[in-house]
Amino acid sequence: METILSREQILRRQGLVVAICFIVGFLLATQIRGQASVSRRLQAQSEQDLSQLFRQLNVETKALRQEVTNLRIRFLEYKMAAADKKVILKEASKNLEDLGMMAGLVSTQGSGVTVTIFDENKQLGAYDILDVIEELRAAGAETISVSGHRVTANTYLETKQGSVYINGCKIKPPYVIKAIGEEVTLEQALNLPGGIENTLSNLEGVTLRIEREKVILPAASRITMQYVTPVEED
Amino acid sequence: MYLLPLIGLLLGIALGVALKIPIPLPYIRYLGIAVLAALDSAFGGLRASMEGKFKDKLFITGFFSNILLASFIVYLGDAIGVTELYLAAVVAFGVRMFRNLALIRRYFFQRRHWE
Repeated sequence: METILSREQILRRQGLVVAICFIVGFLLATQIRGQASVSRRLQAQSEQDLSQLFRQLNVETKALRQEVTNLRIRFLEYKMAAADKKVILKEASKNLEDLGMMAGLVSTQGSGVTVTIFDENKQLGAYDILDVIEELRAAGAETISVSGHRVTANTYLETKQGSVYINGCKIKPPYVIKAIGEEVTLEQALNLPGGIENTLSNLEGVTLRIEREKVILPAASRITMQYVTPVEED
Repeated sequence: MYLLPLIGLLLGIALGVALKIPIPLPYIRYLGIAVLAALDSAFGGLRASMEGKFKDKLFITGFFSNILLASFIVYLGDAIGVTELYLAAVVAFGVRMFRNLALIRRYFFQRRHWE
């Protein structure tokens, strides 16, 4: 049936077949191995492992979500704290401003009254000026000045040799008293019947002029505290 | 007669197992089809030799061209978006392998005069 082949031919043929078989085997083994590793990797071993992985990822997701929430809360807290700080700062600076105005550290302006007291015979003393100041204070004046001198907590008035001194400075008539406050109230406090205007106007040579207007008061000269220190309170 | 090819096959398998050549994921399918083509060629060669029509050059060229063509069909399928094109190669090789195996079986029996 088979054609007669030389020995050499047979050998060559056999070698060829062996080589081909070798290649087939090699390819087969490589492919099977590769396929197996892919299956292992992708189809991920077993359902158990997959569910394990799934659960783990779930837990991680949950934790990360929690963290996001926590960070959000902290962010809000910081934001609120910042806002608080702002409010406090604003309040503090407002306080400082108020105190500065009250202490006379800054010049102030606002609606109020200007009282000009003419005293031709120079019969008015420190007490009369003081009366006017008190009356204005009682009427709610916020800041007052007398002839260019700001009236503060340390202000003193005195009469020496028929002249009025404020904080040691001699002032001459007409005395100009300016006050910032509710204009109408201030004016009414002065010209009440039997009030200070009446009393002073009864004196000879004394006339008062009261004007409602916008006034500007100078700052007081700053004083330095030498002896006092604040008491620390708990 | 059949011992040497078998030894060759086993040696090849041993080498493939031993070398552990990692195949990148996208090329797994190519190699799979190539393996099918190689198997088909091997069976074809076996049948031809039993029929006494074995030709060295024909066998060798057929072996490699089958492998290349099969791989090319897979590539072509991927390239034109018909990824199932490799099925054509699978079916062709599969059908031919079955037929070859049937013929080999028949020649085997004939030769032994079992029939």
